[in-house]
Amino acid sequence: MNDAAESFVNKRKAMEQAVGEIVSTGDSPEVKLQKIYARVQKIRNTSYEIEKTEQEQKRAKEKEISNVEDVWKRGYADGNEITLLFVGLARAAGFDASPVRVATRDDHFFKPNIMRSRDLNTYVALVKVNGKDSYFDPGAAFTPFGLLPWSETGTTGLKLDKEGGTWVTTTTPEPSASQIVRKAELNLTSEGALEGKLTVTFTGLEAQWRRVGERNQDDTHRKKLLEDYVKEVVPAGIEIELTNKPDWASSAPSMVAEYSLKVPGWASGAGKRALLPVGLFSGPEKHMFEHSTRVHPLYFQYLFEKTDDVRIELPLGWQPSSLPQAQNNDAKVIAYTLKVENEKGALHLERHLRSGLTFLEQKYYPALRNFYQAVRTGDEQQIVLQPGASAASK
Amino acid sequence: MSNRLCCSPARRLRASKMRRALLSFALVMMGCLAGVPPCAAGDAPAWMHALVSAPLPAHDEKTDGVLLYSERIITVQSADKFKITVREAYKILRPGGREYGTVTVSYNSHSKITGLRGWCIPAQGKDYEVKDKEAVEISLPKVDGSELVSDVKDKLLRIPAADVGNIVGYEYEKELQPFVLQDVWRFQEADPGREAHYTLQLPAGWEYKATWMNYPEVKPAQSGNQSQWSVSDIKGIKHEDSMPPWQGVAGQMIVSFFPPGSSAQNQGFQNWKQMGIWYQGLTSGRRDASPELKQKVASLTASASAPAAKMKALGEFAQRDIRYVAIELGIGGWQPHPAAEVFAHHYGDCKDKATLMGAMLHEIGIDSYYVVINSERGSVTPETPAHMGGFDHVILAIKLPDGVSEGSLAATMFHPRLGKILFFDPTDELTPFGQLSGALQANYGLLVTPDGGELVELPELPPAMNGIQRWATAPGRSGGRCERLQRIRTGSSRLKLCFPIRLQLSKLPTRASATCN
Repeated sequence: MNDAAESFVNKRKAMEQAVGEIVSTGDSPEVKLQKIYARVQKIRNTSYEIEKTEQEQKRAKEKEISNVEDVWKRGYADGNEITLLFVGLARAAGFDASPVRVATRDDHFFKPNIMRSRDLNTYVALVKVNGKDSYFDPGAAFTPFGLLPWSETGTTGLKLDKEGGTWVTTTTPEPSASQIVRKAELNLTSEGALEGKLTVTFTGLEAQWRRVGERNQDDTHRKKLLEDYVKEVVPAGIEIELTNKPDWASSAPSMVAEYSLKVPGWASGAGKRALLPVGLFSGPEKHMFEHSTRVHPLYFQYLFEKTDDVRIELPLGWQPSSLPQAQNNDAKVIAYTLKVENEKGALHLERHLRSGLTFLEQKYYPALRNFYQAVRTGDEQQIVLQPGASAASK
Repeated sequence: MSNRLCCSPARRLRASKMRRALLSFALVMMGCLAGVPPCAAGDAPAWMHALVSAPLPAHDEKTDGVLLYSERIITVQSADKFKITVREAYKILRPGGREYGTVTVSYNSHSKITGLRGWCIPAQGKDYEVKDKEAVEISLPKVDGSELVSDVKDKLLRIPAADVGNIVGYEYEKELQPFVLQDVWRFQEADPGREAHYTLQLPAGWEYKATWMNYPEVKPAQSGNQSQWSVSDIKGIKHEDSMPPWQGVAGQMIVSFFPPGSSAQNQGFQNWKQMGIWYQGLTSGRRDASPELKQKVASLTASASAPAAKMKALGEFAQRDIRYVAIELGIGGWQPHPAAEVFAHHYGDCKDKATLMGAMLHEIGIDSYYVVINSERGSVTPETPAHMGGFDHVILAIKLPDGVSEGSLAATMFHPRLGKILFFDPTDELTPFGQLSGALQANYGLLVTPDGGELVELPELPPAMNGIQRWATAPGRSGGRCERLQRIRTGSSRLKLCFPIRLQLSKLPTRASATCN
């Protein structure tokens, strides 16, 4: 395995020449590596293209890739070959870099004692940066610098060397590395509708998997995907329109979607008062883990955070007469907070959900279920609004 | 044959899954062909190049692709031989339109594909051509509730460079021995079309009858024995929830052909009566009971004294003790197996079960008649002309003996000649004897009697028989929690819930019964 990888990577002269075109002498080690990563990701990645028929392949006259020099010169390669090019360039730039064969955990859980080499089914790169080991996979399209696709995180790999290799475990990014931030500036209309602007920022793996899934789709399909996302998270019928053109093409850490949002009938009347639920984006958690029993362990793809920052302007003269109790449920690996404040005629809702779980034995299911029950209870709270004297007289 | 009489409830539920499975399987098979050398690239034919600068039909931004040209030429050489030529070309407008690059042509033991070619005219660069030998042959992937054995196969051809902005097209020729002298031209699709043509070439002295469905009639251009129809700017039909079935909304022309002289055995249908006579001939002798079957009937009905109880016992046997297994080869897509065989093997498809049930009823002195029907209400309407392609299912109409008036026998109608008849679906094991599933209620079916056939409207059961009743009791003001919620489903509402549960239970290694209220 090591011989195959090294014979592919070992083109020192060509790599040094290539690195000279990518980095500057004054660059810090981290900047150098970032530049190499960004340049390597610009190589046409054939692993993410629609499979060509034999006639198309023949007509394209694309020669077989034998080593990293071929990748660099021809400008196309599959995902593994691109990652090995990154190893070659990193070495040429002076980094201690090694190819690592890892077992992707979307496919199987690796068992070393089975001794089946094909279970180690993809390459990642291990690079020492400022004395710290870091994993990279530029051959996995749209993966931001410093992250791996979820299937390659927290999994076993064999760091290849002359002696046969060393077993390693890839890192698992913190929840903060993969966030969805929903920021809304809304007005409550006199009919009880919420109207305004919503900005959703997908970061880290939340952006990566969406970009991968939509890579061969068009703007219409992507727009629908993003609008459907909001329809899924708002637990009510809504009117939604994407208003910007998100960056689908890059590996930037975040992807921003801007919307015009209307939620008809979000506030309901109760005599002279109105009730406003606080869980505007609580759709996904509404029915999570409702079953009382659990047979299998729980398996999550990656750690994540969801943050909601919602500001609601109230109709003139209206004031909250009762605000829900703040929630702070910190179970260490998973946490939920909710806070509602009255800010001079406007409501400010902050909701935060953090999950640091990948694998959980079924014996902990009741605790997890209780946690999400508490999330639902918090989200179902209502703000009581009442009109001021002038508004009430109308 | 596009339609066969082999419908089980599972088949209806899984139709869309089956399509996806078919496409995935096909693409895998294409990958397996990597070792087959491609044919030398050739230019696309002139009829395709003529489309390159043709204006596109009206479409919106969600349209995956448009049909630029479609042509179906049917040459009737004799009552035993048709030759069909099909040409189609699409412009791919969105990534979802790439599927137009996979061509599927069906054939069976009574038909053969004599030519198949596909082309792509890319927006830039040279044309691509693929030929018959690059196609793969597959039989329909088997799924629960589908046919166990069928002779229908597909040839799949993948056209290169089927991508946005490119034009893909194909042409195939097929020869077939028809069971009935009919053809259906389905020219309206989900995406819009620019032009579609249908040419009919008949031998001297033959006549035809063409009926248009869901589309304004177009008169043909006539030249000798050749008739040509053309439609243009065909609107696409977008899927909407709770819409009628495709057959009930898409434009199509149904053509029957008639050889000279009315005595020909194989011919098209002028009316439902003729189709009924044809089906009556096909099923003749199939309901004869074997000694073993007669013995079984006696045993099943021994403890029942009233006719209704006897019919119910036989109905439950046909529904529950005869496994749904469809084995359909050639005319077997339409002709049931003999009742004695169905009983001996304890399996059969819808028409086999109806045949067995008919034979058993005959043994207790009760007449019954086949009802050929479509499992989706709205596919066949009073305006539909008599043709084979409209149906995919067979049930039974039971002539109720005088004096039988049990309230549980709800799916009845009064027939002027037969008197009171009860409709019963021996395939539908979850709908009790006396009722009909929602899809069959108010549906139109071909009632086959010794006098021929007639299209009849099946009864619609009252809403109360298709409902969900919910009771909740709560402790009142002091409590706030609902203490008890009970739900009872009846009729089709129960069927919708129970059928998926039955499917899961059927996969368990031990026998289990479904309880689902």
